[in-house]
Amino acid sequence: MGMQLIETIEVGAGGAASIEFTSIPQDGVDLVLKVSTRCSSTAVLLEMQFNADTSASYAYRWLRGTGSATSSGNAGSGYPSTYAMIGWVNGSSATANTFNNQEAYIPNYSGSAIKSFSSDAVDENNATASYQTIQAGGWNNTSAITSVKLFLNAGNFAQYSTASLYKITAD
Amino acid sequence: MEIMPTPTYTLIDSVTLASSASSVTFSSLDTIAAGYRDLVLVVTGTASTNTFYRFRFNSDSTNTNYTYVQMIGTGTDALSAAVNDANAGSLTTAESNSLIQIMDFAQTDKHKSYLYRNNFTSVRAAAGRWSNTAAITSIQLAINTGTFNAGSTLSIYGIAA
Repeated sequence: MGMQLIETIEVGAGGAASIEFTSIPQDGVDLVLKVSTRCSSTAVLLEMQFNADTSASYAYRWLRGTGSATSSGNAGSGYPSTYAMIGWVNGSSATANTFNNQEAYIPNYSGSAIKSFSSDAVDENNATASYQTIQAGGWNNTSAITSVKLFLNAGNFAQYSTASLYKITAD
Repeated sequence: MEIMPTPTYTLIDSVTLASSASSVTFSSLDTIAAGYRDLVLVVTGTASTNTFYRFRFNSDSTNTNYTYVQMIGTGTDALSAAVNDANAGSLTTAESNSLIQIMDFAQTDKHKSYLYRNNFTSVRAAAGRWSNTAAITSIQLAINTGTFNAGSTLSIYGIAA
């Protein structure tokens, strides 16, 4: 009942190009995704796709605060609509052992309506760079979500990156 | 001895609208949400027009009893403002959602604070306060203009301390 862990994936030695949850059980109402990531190269964006859909069917907006400035962007304005962007990621030049965190909420994932999501994220590098961001958007598809894939705009997830997927149940 | 985690994020009530409605109310929270520390409201669906909805805690419809500070990303601009209003989130004619956390809803020694983020024609996060120490026993979400469309779902969860 309540919030139940479906699966946690931890990236092993050598890194991984993606983290993917498949065969997601359909007995939940909402999904919660909690991620701790670091990139092995210079990637900055954490990206998400549902049901292996790589078409231009994602829309999102983001808002970012750096501690001294704010900015906002959206899919189609320099950011592809072939995935949902849910946060920024520390790259290999960041201070050792610094990971960043994202949490995404995906309501009614097993329903037949168009899917929406929101997320917030923090990306901190020993006070030399700090991003706090929120993102929200939708996947223009009415299919139930059966898989969630996370990947980066370049490079691999570093070892010890983790992602946990939870379902919120109605019982 | 293995220590089991406390069940949390427990669904207390959920409404999927069979027809359009201008408001949705969760009542008897002192009974059906007894024992939980915080509440989470999840609103997903569409509205008849791009609009927002307001809190009505314990039927308090005086908007100036509520305040919030928000930050908004429009896709091109980043904005922030403090507002004296009961705004609780927004909906569009396209599918969107709000995630709302209400802390210490049953406490009687503090004003009630809440956080939410939602997507609208922009992405928005806000932190607000209801200037009342009463325990929240009912929550109405009242749309400002138009209606929640049929098929919209509003759910309330209990978060254990």
